[in-house]
Amino acid sequence: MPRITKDEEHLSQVLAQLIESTGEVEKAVATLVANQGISKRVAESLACGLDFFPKRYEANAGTLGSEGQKRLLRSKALVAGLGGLGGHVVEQLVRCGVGELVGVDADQFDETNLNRQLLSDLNSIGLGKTEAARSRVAEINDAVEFHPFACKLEDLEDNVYDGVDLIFDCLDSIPSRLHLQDMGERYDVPLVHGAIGGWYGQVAIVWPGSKLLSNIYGTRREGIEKVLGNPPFTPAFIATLMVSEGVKLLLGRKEKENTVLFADLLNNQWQYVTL
Amino acid sequence: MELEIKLFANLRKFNSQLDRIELDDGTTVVELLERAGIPPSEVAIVLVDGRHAKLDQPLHDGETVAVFPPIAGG
Repeated sequence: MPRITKDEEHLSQVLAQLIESTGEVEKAVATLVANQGISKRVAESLACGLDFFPKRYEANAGTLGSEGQKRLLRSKALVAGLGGLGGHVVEQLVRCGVGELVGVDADQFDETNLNRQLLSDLNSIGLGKTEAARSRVAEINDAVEFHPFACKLEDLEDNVYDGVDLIFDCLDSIPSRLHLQDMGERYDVPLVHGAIGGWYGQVAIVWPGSKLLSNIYGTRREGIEKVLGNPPFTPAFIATLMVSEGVKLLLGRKEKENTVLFADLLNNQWQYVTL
Repeated sequence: MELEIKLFANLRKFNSQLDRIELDDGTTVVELLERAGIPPSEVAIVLVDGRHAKLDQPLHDGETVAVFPPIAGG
């Protein structure tokens, strides 16, 4: 989690006074941002630390708690791939209030994406996926800081991984997924892996050093999606599992294990496999 | 020998082949796949009694074999 550079205790005291005088968390946060030169997500995290939830997070409160919401606002996640899985993952992370997001995708939207990719619509055909993600994030939650990288994952500069707490593997190629596994290992950051094909999908947490993706894919370099394609409901379902797993990781509620969940939405079968 | 074979996801289409094959004790995983008509290229993970197995692992009476395809779309 990134450190707050200014004196956090002092800022919290100022914020508490502002909340008392204005009677409104949002106004107090805005004043603190304007007067103290800190970001909105940090100001919101301080409010959560005082047990005052900005209204946009009120419905998260019972589930995440004030300390949990504060942790999410201070967290930084990298989302690799902004297509079927990545679009839904970004949408949910922003609404959760994960404070900093890095989005990586070299592609532009085309008409074949419209059946399933949340960030695509008739107006975004030809638009870069990172640009569409940037707009969507800003429309939903202006406290979230979004860093777009419209390039191939393999071309990312190393410093992009600085301060990243968690990586979401929403890619569509096995070699790129294995590269991301290497990056997670190099920077000691776990991956939340998701993959889809037809009615089927899988979710796993790839701990640094576990080589779980190498064990899953072996020598395979293509998956069943090449034949079965991707309907709209499978990415939404798998992305939801990825985000709930990711949130648990960010909140420190996840044990280390090398388990893959296989989901069969056609036959409603869920199989856990430990490798 | 008798095995319990569980095919996952789209590999279930090969279920009908399984009733027709007889296997000797010691048949390997890859031989089982060949006899069932399952191309190895469509297989990512094989578990024998819940443990990750290699393709040349010999199989024995009473074991459970689970087979999963590669899923890689995003």
